Amino acid sequence: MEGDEDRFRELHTAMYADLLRFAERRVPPAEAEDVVATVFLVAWRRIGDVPPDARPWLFGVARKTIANQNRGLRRRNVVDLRMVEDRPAEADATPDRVDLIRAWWTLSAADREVLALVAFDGLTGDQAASVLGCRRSAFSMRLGRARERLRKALEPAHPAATIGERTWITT
Amino acid sequence: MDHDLNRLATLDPAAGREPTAAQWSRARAGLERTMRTPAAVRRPVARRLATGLAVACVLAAGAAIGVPALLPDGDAAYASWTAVPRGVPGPESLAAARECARSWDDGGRGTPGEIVLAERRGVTVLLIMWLRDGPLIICSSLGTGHPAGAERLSGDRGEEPPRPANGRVTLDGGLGATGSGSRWYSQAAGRVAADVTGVDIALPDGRTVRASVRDGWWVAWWPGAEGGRTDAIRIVAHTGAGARPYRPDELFAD
Repeated sequence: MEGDEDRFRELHTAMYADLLRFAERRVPPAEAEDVVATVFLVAWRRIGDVPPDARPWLFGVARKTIANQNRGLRRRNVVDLRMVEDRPAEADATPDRVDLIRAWWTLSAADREVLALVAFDGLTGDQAASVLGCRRSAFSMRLGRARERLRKALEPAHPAATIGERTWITT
Repeated sequence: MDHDLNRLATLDPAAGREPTAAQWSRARAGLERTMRTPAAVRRPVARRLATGLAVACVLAAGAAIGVPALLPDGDAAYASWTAVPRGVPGPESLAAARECARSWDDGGRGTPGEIVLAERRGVTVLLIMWLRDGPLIICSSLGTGHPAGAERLSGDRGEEPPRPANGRVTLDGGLGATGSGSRWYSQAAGRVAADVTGVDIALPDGRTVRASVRDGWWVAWWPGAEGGRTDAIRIVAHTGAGARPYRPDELFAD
């Protein structure tokens, strides 16, 4: 029991900031702390299940927590990124950055999610696959496709597209 | 990371973000509260699949049937909808299940497992079914050879949400509405206690939608956006002791 407490405290100290950033990329800031608190509650209750490489495990719990909060039906399968959308209005954004932001938002939520796990959250392919609960090979395939679609969206001739992904309005 | 991912990393909305002193303070207080609760009663996890993880990831990509509307042929689906569901003959439900399983798998190689529940409302068949090597899913089919939408109901390794206490139902399968213009529909699904014999959705205009209930699950869908409005409906659980209405917020799992 004492060993569990020591390990849990170490886990909290090591991972709190990382988890808060993970949550803040995906939910409004006011909700991020609650998400992280829930993740640590789950981690405490399942302390014996937390693997030595705890980061992807904890991120996976955070992702599920956010998905459950959304309470959407189809959207439960994809945890989209937010906040990047708050930035297109940056007054000092370079044309290159504006193009990148525009390209980002032409992607599907699913593409954004796999890209963000690597580019924003800094996970390896193995870790990101663990977060999503899929095989490494499947994640690699998804990442490759998402990168290809991002590259195409950044091509000058690429028409501005909007993704009509269906959004559930949930209670 | 390669160039494109490095370039993308410049968009990270949380780059360089560190918790404030107040956040650390709240977090550490929360840590102490958390550790005052008992640690870890391990719950055994049913492992119904050995190789279904790739399948799960494929749906997460929305590549197969995650995104399209339930009602691409809306007129027929709405016009033929019924408040009381009908059963689906075995061969017909199996055919729909095969379509759902194939569409769930990116490569079209998915195979159905056990069908938990099958209902028909007009032209629309709705299934709750296991994939042979994958999770439990809910899947809609218009009977035109094309499943119209699906989402998972169990975890990646097949663990179902637990059944609630007697007399209760849950909304583990979600409650929501989707559509545009005048074309909206709502869907609700969840677990039922062993003593629950039926579930109804009471709509604000007085209509009642009877849900399908079988093997610990219930599900209903109906034309309209009520599922997306806060506190617009009541979910009525029927037991031998009578009927009890619940607000949706009473039924979401913690």
